[in-house]
Parts: sequence; C-alpha cells; structure tokens
Amino acid sequence: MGAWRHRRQHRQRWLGLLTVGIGAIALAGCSEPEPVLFSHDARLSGEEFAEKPNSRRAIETIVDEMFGPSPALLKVPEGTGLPRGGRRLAGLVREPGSDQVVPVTYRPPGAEQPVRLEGGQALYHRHCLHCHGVSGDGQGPTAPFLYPRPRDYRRGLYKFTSTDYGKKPTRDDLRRTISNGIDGTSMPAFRAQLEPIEIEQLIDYVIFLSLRGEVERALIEEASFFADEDLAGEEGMEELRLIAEDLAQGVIFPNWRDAMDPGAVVQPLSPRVASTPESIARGRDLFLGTSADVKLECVGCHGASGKGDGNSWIDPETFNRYVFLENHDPTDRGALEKLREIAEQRQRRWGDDWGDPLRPADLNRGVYKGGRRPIDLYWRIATGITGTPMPAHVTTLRDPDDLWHLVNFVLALPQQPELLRPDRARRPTGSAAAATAAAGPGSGATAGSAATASR
Amino acid sequence: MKAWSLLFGLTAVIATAAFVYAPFDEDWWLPSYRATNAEAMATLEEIDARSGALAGEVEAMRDLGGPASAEQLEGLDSGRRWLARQAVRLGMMADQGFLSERSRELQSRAALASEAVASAREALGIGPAPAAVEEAVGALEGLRERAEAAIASVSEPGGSLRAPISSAARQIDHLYVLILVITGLTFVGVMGAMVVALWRFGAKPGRKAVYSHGSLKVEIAWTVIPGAILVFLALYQLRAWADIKFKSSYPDVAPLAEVTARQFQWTIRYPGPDGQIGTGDDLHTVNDLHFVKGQPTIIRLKSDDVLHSFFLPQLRIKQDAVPGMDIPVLFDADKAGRFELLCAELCGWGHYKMRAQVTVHETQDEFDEWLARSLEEQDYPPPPASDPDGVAAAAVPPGPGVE
Repeated sequence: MGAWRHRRQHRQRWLGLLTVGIGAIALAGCSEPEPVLFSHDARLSGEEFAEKPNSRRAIETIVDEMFGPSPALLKVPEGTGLPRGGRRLAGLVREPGSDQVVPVTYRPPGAEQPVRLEGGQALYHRHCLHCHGVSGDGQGPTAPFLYPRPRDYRRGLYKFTSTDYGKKPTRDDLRRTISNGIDGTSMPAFRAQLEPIEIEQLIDYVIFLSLRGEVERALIEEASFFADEDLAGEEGMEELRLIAEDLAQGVIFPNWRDAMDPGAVVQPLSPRVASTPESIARGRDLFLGTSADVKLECVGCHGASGKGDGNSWIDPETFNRYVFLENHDPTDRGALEKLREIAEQRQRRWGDDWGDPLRPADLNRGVYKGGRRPIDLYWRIATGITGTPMPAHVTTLRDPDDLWHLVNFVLALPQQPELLRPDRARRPTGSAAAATAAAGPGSGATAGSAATASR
Repeated sequence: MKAWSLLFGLTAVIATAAFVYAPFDEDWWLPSYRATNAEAMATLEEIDARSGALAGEVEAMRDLGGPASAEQLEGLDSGRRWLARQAVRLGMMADQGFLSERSRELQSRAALASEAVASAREALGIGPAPAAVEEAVGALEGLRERAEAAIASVSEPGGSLRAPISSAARQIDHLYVLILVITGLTFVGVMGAMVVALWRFGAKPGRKAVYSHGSLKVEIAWTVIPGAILVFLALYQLRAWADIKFKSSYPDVAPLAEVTARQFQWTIRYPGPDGQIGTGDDLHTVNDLHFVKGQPTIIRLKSDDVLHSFFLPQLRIKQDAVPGMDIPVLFDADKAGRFELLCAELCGWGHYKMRAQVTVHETQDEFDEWLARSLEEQDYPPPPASDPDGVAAAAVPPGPGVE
C-alpha cells in the first residue's frame, strides 16, 4: 500500500512538472513578439555612411518621425493625397490632437452596419511582405529566389502604368496589377483572394511605402551636402528636417497626387485600328525597321525573331548562366555582379534601373506582363516601361495609327510565328488550323511582299 | 489494468460519438455549398422573410380612416431604406456571378418595390390610399416569390446542409459514408473486444497464466473477414472511379477550357468565338472558372512548373496536375452559385494563395453573356465598327511626306 501511494505521489509530481512545462511553453508562445521595424535604405548601413554616423542618425530619425518607426506605429504626413487621409492604412487610428484610438470602419454598399477595416498594413504583412519586404524594398525572405525580382517600391517607379514614362502609376494601374497579377512573374492574382475594399487598402499601403522610400532616398542625396559634424546638433537636424518637409510637400507628394488626376492617363491618340493583315504587316515592318518612313529600334532589344535576343543585350546563354545556373546562393549577389561586369565589358545591357537582371520580352510567347488588352500593349509601346530601357514611342511615331499597327502585330505574333520566322509557318492541321487558315497565309504573303518592297 | 480498460472504453465511446455526430452536423467536414454562398443565401433568405412581413405591414394600412400615424410612416420609411439596400446587395451578387440573371431580376424588383413603398408612404401621409397600398403589396409579394424561387433553385428544402451537388459528389459521399460505417463498426468492435479482454483476463492474485499456441479458427476468421471487406470495397468502388476518372466513360463534349496551374495561380483559357482553344481569340482569365449547371464539363488540366492538384471541394473532384501532361477532368454541378477551386498539392511557399473562384451559371445564356462580356473587356478598346473605308484608310501606310 505504501509503495502504491509513493508511486502515485511520484506520478503526481511528474504530472505537475509536465503541466508547468507545457504552461511555460504556452506562455512563451504568447509573449510579446519582437516588434517589426521599418528597415532603412541599405546604403545607410553601408560603406557610404560608415564615416558619417551623424548623417545616418539624422536621416533615420527624420524618416521615422515623418512615417513612423514601425508598421505598427506608422504615421501619415499631411498632404499625401491618400484617401481618407491615409486612415485605411491601419485598423486602429489615433486622430490628430486626441488621445483616443479608434477603429477604422467602412460601410459596404447595401450593408446596415459599418464593418471594421483590417488596414492596408495588416493585409500587406499577410499577403505581400514575404516578397516585397517590411519597408517595400523588394527584399522579403522569398525575394532572392524569384526571377524577376519583386518590385522595390522605394524609388516610386512602377513598370506597368497608363501614365507617361517615369511618371507615377494611377490607382487603377496598381489595382490591375494586384487584381490580375503579373503574367510570367511570381506576382499572383489577388482578385479571388481579396475583397475589393481590401485591394484598395493595399494600394494605399503600397503608395505609403513608396512615399516613405522616396523621402528617404531624397534625404540621402541631401545629406551629402552637409558635413557630418553639422548634423550632430539639433540645429543641423532642424535644417535637414525642413528640407525633408519641402521635398515631400513640394515634389514627392504632388507627383503622386498628380497621378490621381484622371488627366494623367495617356489616352490613345487615335481610335483603335482593327487587326487586319495589312495592319499586322505594317506593324511587322515597323518592328523590323524595314518601313521606309520611320525607323524604330525594336530589333536591337527584342531581336529579329522577336525572342528577346537583340544585340544591345547580353546574350541569353550568358544571362541564363549567371542568373540561374551559377546563382547557387541567390541571397549572395556575386553571380549577378559577375554578369554586370561581363555586360559592361561587352557594352551590353543586362538589367533594369533597380539593378536587377532583366531580359527584353520574348514576343512569341503570348505572355504579356502588363496585361493583354490592346490598350495595355498600346501603353507599353506608347509610353514605354518605366525603369527599363523600353522607351516611349509616342513622339517617335508621326502617324498615331502606327502604335495600333504595332499592337496588332505584337498580338498576332504568337499565333503567326511565320511573321518573323518563315520556317515556323504552321501547317494547317490541329486546333490552330482554323485561325492560321483564316489570317495566316494572307498576312504572311502581305508581310513578305511588304518586306521585299521596302528592301 | 482496470484503469487501462476504462481508458480504452472511454476512447471507443468518444470516438464513436465523434464519428457518428461530427460529419453530419456542421460545416467543418468539407466546405458546403451553403458555406461558400453564405452571404448571397443570407440576402435571399432575408428578403424572403422580411418582404413578406413588410407586405403584411403595408396591407394593414389599406383601410385606415385617415392619414397613417407617424409610427406607421416611420415603419414604411425604414422598409423603403431596407429595400434600397437589398437592391445594392443583389446587384453585388449579380456582379459576383451568383445566379446573375435571377439576381439582376430581383435587383430591379427590389428597386421597384422600394419605389412603390415610397409612393405608398407619400399617399398615406395625406389620407387613405388603397390603390397605392395595393401596388406596394403586389410589388413586395412579387419580390418575395422570386426570392423564394431563387432559394429553391439553389438549395433543396429540408436537405442536408451538405447535400451532394454533383454526380461525383453523390458517388463519393456514398462511398465515404459506407467506408465510414464499416471502419467505424470495426473500430468499435475491436475496442470493445479489447476492453472485455483486459477486464476479464487481467492479472489477478492467484491466477496462473495459460500457455497457448493460439487458435487457427480465430486466426483464419480475422484474416478472411477483413480481407473480404477490403475486396468488397475494392470492387464496389470501381464504378465510381471509372465514372469519374476513365476517359473512355467521358461524355462526348468539347473541352470547356484549358486550366494551367502555375506557382501560384490558375490560368484559364476559354475558346473564343471559333470554339478552338489555342487561337488568337481565346479568353484568358486568372483564378476565374465558369461553367454551366447540369452540364457535364471537361477541362484540360496542365501544369507550368511543379505538381499541383485541381480540387473542387464542393463537387468532390480532385485531380493532380502534372507538368508535361494534358489531363482531361470531368465534373458537373446540380446547383448554380459560387464555389471554390483550391490547390490540393503542396506546391511551394505560396500554395495557400492558389485559390480560384468558380462560378456555376444557371443557364447556357448566362454563361454566353459572361463570355461575351469578358471577351469584350479583354479586347478593350474595341476596334472601330467595320466600315470598309475606315479599315482601308487605316491599312494604307502613310507616306514619308505626311508632315
């Protein structure tokens, strides 16, 4: 009996210890997580600022004052032009001049009661952060493994816009990108994942991160005009603070507000031209530079066969070797540096303005990153692709219809590979026969004769 | 020993209860039709319930001696506001593709009813207005009837929340329940036998252990009986497997679309007006699958990169997408509405994002209208109307001296 009781006591003690252990683990799991902070531009922690601790501290302090030190404590400066003064960025808001923290609400159409918004910040952290990073630098944990690399918002440059080259995207452009994703890249479509109001909140947050990044970049430039000692004291800080305010209110915010103006969208100069064999042939001549009147440089990048292997770019083999095959550790930029060196040596292009590897589009694949609507392709050709060497053609082409001829050609090329590669003419068999039989031979013939004529 | 046998006994009882009650109770087992369409269904049910009540309220004001009381007018006002809100909700339902034709019709009826109630309120504020009341009641009754019909078209009265809504679902759910019953009974039986054995043959002071070579009869029995059950299941399920997976048993219909899985989305390509997939007039969508209720539908499943799995949980259809293969998948649905298409094969870090909307249209016309509208959107801006002069003018390359 005594032994039994002893054993029971023993067991109870073990049970007690186990409970305490599980409890401790559970409590540890519930403890406050490490606060996520906005990261600052990598240049600030790099060589450039190694000898300038005061400049670095001043820039970081001013950016944090303006936009908040962390996503959880973000601040929205006046004049950003964000809807509802940027209230949709967060789920809880402290109104200016008040100590009360109130939830942000939204009344869906047809609903009786307003519902609480999660806030762009929370949605971004769930859906976007792992690629685009906490501060929108395109350096999330999964980013190094992707090609093309995720967008770095901090330059405020976006590729697929309906506005002029180098200009900010409209909300509609960002909405399209988030809803439909970017074909041919790792950017997925979020339309089925998110409610329309959630997409709006994300757009707000993406713009917010751009504003923050642009102010930071501008400050880094400005700080180079200061001696480091000048920024040690409050006086120099105050001066830099004023400059930051000026830049933000005078240049950076207005640029984004301008994009919200409906007039910012580039409207086609002429109504759409129907996709006839003649139009496609004219587009082909323009593409190849064989037209008598206008000379375009499409072939230099996209190649004579439209495969994206033009002579101004580094050849595909070398590109693939350093971007994919030799890139054993994608977190290390060594292989890309090597590619850059080789490209510079041979005086070829290899990347985009963000310093990421890039190839001109293979037009034969029918993959259109910025959307496959004719208007999307029109914008790509007419206004170029911001941040890449794809230039705007709206001023190069005298006849506005030429833009539509090019659009028609680009849309037809995947279906009619013989336009650029006569050896690839499809035999009229199989499922593609109908289309080729209808448009192919005729257009092929016209294209051929037009090419010979211009030669 | 008694503690152990009690533990086993308790496990058996709890597990049995879980098996018996859980799958037939709430919606956690598999996403049901009702769960996916919860919001739209709630709207329809609310309209069904409240427009009837509102009609009664209005009806009561037909034979008033004088102008209606402030309280009654307030009731009409809130009813009108409610109707206007329902019209907005119905419009959103139609946009999302939930019974788009019916939703559109209900939307216009709700708007009409809202107007009728508003004019009844106007008239009743002045004096008795039997004609206006009559009209409002009529509009509300019409709205209620159509809402009821819409509900009836998507859910069976008194049916289980998870009533199978496709041919495959009927076969698979039947097999699921059958296998669940067989394994459940076996589980309970084995647990019971174990409890009895532990209880009866446990160590007792003064009892000696018995040495035994075992019993051939019992061994044959417990080999042959499970074997027979397994053989029965293997043969019994052949029909379902053949119907769902064998190409030779597929009906002779043209593929609805080509679904290509890629990390991490479903890109879907529908044939355009020429009926051929792979031509220039195709419709390309991302994460948006549409088909028609009650029609056997075949898609061609491909993968761009790694293994994915095409999973329609409500329709109980699952098929792996294999790179390099073109796999036809057959399914159908008895109910119109919105469903989910999920990836059911861990395909990478974004696997959880790989979710698409499935819209089942009630009629072929509804589907055709969606297809035409989407094609129009994809071809934005439309080329100018085909007047031969315009085309000819556009086709002439401008000469060098245009300036």
